[in-house]
Amino acid sequence: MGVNLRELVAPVKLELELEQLAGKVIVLDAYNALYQFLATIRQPDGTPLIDALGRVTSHLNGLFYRTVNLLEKGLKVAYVFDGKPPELKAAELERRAKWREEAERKYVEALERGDLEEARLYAQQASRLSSSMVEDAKRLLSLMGVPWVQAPADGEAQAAFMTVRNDAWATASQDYDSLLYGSTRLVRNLTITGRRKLPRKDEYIEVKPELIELDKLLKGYGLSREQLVYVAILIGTDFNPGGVKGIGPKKALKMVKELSTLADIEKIVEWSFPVKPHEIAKVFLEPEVTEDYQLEWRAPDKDGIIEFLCDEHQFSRERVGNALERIEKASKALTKQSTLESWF
Amino acid sequence: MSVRFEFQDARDWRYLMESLNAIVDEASFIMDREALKLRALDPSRIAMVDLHVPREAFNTYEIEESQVKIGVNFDDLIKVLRRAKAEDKIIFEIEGRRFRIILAGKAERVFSLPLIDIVGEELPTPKVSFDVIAKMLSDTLRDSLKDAEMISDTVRFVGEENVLRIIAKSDKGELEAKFSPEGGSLIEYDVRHPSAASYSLSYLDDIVSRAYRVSEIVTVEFSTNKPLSLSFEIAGGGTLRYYLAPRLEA
Repeated sequence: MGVNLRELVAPVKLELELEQLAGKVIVLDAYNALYQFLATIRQPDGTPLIDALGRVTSHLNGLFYRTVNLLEKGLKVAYVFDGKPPELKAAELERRAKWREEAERKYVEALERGDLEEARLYAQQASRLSSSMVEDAKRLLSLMGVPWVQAPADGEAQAAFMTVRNDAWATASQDYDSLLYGSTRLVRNLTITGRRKLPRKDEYIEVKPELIELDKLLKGYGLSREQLVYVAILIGTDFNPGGVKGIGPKKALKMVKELSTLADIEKIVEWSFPVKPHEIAKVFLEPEVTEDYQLEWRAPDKDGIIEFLCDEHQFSRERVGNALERIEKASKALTKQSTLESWF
Repeated sequence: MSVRFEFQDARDWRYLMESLNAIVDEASFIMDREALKLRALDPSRIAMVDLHVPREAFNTYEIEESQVKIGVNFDDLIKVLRRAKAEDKIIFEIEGRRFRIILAGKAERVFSLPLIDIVGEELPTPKVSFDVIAKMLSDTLRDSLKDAEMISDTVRFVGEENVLRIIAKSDKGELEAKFSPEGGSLIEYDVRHPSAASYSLSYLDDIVSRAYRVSEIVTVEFSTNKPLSLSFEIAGGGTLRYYLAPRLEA
């Protein structure tokens, strides 16, 4: 979910090839990635992948093979996990829970009708990420030697903070929120790069990573980061879903430029949300983050991975073995792309 | 501001703009009394383009101010330039915020484009001394890069005393292209120290597959694990030069 800045970033976003990110530290929003995997890695009727005990493994499948892919291309990936959600987000979380319940009901109905296409769609929307899945994911990353960071609150805020401290080159998520948190660069589509099926259609598209630079975005519109946050608040964030009625990106931009302070904006819009605009602004501008993290990449624990994925969760030994070989090869043969700045 | 300059061949200008577009989507030209210049870094900061066209290369070259910045979006500009016919001249005019492109052939077609504000950083020239300098046909270089692309995404340039090798290796196989002055594939060749360095093929291909149309001859310069420089001389005067950061053993 998160704020929808699609229209605003359109003029500044750049399509990239994965290999252009080689050698760069990219911090992925783990929850965002895991939800993507849960939603997309499913059988044609919408049933997720499961092991012999009926436990869902779609998230592990996605996390493992996608991370291997990124490591193979030379990216230095790290993951950030959400901490406790801010209380202010309660309304949105409740809305999502309802949405999932509704989707679950429709999924069953679609299955009964025998409409697999619909069933798959609703199954995706009903994806739930349980705390045991999160623990699985952390365990797998540790075994892979990929660093992960536990955020005190919002993972995207933590990831953004790491770019500001220059410990990471970019954050990666499908959401735009990390830009509001001050992320210097946001890479989208990292977890879905490749050939993708369009929903409800028998069509495929080629998805490439997209780079959005905060500085370029702000300068392009002549905004400060605070003002970008105000624009987001008008359009709608997780704290005020849907935003102010009748205000889209263009109007929001115009208003913020004319009025410039939040107090002025509050005066003229009809605010119908329990959370006040300045409270939302504070979440994005003064988020809770930690300096207590380490980014260290280690060699993968091959036996540990095989035990976890193949013995415990019945992954194909052959496929996992091949993937492990790919990581090993990549880490050995990898030439690291340098940047010209080293010669300035 | 008020600026006007005319270039003899609109198509050549299009090839030049397409070559800049290999590195950036938008950038600012700097025009002063001596030359039209552009220097820009790609977003990943791996490649840089450095264009210098002296006033003598233009049919006419008029500038009121001592220096102006002309910010353009290459997609928009190239769309217009693709409309140019053989033997069209091209005239650029700026008055205030109005940027006009005139394609002058049998008829005169006037396009107006927005000028854009680009916050650019001042970029230095990379500090590199080159140990290997080779001059060759740009088409020859383009061909061997295409060959290498079938094999790998990285290519290695190896400069030995009398031979320049371009090597690509992977699981898929191996390619080695050899060039030498004796064999006639190098027009000039100078090796101060034998050197070798690897570079990303996707960048190289992007650059060379466009810039080979700017000039038939390219000068390739590199040193061990240092940036590569590719220079193309522009017909009528001026240079289009690229720098590409190496891939280093991790």
